[in-house]
Amino acid sequence: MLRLVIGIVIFLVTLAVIVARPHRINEAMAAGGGAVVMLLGQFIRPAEAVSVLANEWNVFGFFLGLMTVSALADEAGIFETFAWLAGKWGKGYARRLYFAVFLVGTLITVFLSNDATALILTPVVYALVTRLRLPVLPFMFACTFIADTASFVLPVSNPINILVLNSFHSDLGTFLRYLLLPSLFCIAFNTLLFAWLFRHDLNLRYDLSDLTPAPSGNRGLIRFATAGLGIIAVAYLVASVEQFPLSIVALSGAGMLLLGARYFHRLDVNKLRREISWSLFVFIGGMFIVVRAVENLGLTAAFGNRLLQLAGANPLTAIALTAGSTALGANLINNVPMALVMISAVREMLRVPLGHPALIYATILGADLGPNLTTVGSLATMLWLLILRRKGLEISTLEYFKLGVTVVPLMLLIGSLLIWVRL
Amino acid sequence: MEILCAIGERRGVELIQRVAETLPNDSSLILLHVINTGPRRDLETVGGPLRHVPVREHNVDAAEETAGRNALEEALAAARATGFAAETRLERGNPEHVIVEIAQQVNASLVTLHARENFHGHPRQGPPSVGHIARFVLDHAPAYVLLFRERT
Repeated sequence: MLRLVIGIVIFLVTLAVIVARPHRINEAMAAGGGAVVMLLGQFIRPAEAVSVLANEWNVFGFFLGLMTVSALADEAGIFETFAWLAGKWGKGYARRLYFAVFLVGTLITVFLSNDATALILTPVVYALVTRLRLPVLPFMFACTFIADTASFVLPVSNPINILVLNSFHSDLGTFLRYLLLPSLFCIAFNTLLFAWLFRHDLNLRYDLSDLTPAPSGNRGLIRFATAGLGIIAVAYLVASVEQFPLSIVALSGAGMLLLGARYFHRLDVNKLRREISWSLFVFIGGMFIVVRAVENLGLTAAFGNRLLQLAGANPLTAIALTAGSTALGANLINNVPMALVMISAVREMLRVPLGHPALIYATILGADLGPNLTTVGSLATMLWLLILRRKGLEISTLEYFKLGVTVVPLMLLIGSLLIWVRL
Repeated sequence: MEILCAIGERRGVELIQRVAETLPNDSSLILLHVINTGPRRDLETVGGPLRHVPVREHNVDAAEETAGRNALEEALAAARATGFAAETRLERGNPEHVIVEIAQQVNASLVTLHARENFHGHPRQGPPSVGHIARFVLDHAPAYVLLFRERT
């Protein structure tokens, strides 16, 4: 009993430090520290920890490949080109530009992941709308929300998806069967609802001559990078169908773009090294070990069984509860640890007759959409609010919460319903 | 009489027209636009320690500068059209602080600005009708302050 309590305390303290970051301790140090304490306390054997990490090579490789591809695409000027094209397509109407930003955000999220949209496209759109003297607020919300809303169209649209799918060896057909309808619905719902909510701000014109003549950069490299991304996108699809490791596709794609950047004399290895978040690997690795230790204590299994008990015999309730609790947990403890906890819980749930593979996709739905629920759902959201306040575009935490609480539960509920109809 | 007009990104012309309707045109106007540098610093920390955010300094600089200059040029044209003598200043920093500092520096007799740059979704009366920049200027400016609400 004491051992169980100590294990729970280590887990909770690790999560608390990840969320609160006291004394500027970053998430990677917290997760790594938690893993070391779990190992020292023999909640997980060193051999088991090594085996856990080795089994996740596809996840680590995918993260590395994805970050490299995004950084090289950014360096080639792809994001600026897309934003510029959106500005041209807008034809001077803020509303048209708004829809174009949603479209670009969706495309980038689908093939380059949610992080590429939230972290790389957002500053580019910020510069674009600043230059056009349009209100920044609706466009920033468009970028941050669509990054999550469009992140379950394909397995590669969010690294969390790979994290989950890697544990269940699911194929693209099954993924699309359960998640294509919910993702299309959520994208359409998000786009139209925001266009309506910000209708006054978007009822403006801008001067096309305020756009820069064309994005600066090497045109040959832009063409090469665009073609390269197209090839990577097709390769992702084929690999997902064939259940070929996506990390190999991402790393090969990164290699191709690296060669292109070198050919066009735009490769800056030191800059590229800085653009890759190496501490992310420590964070994920640490969390794999911490969650496995908690799994060894039987906690995640108990959590999964409790969810099934709450759902009773109703599969729709089980799906909605799984998606809802994952989303809620993502807001409380960050979506990476929550997804790992849910993977372990769902593995247990699938062992009983009531468990259904649809629960895997309900987990993805909750983990991907969840961070939009509150301002504390993701660090990016919190900081964007700060930025907007400084810009004089005041929106209170309550106002944001109202937006999140209106949009996300509805999307989760209808998303769950759309997963359920495909059972 | 030196009047300091704080020009926002979009509604500078409207502010000058309101000034022209309210004050005699024998005053000289200092048209000030402040590029808010706060968001840039925040942008760098968006990702937190786990995610690197490539803030493209050059592009953001150029965008902010272009937007500011365009806003000032439009306001300057409007001021001249209404018979005011006017000059422009483009500054960087925290807008409310810079407005107060410049007012002090040029010994302005009056500071004018919109009560709020964007009224969408905000009531036109009551405390929220005055934005935080206008409120700070009202509290700290070393001169009279004239706030304009959006026309109804």
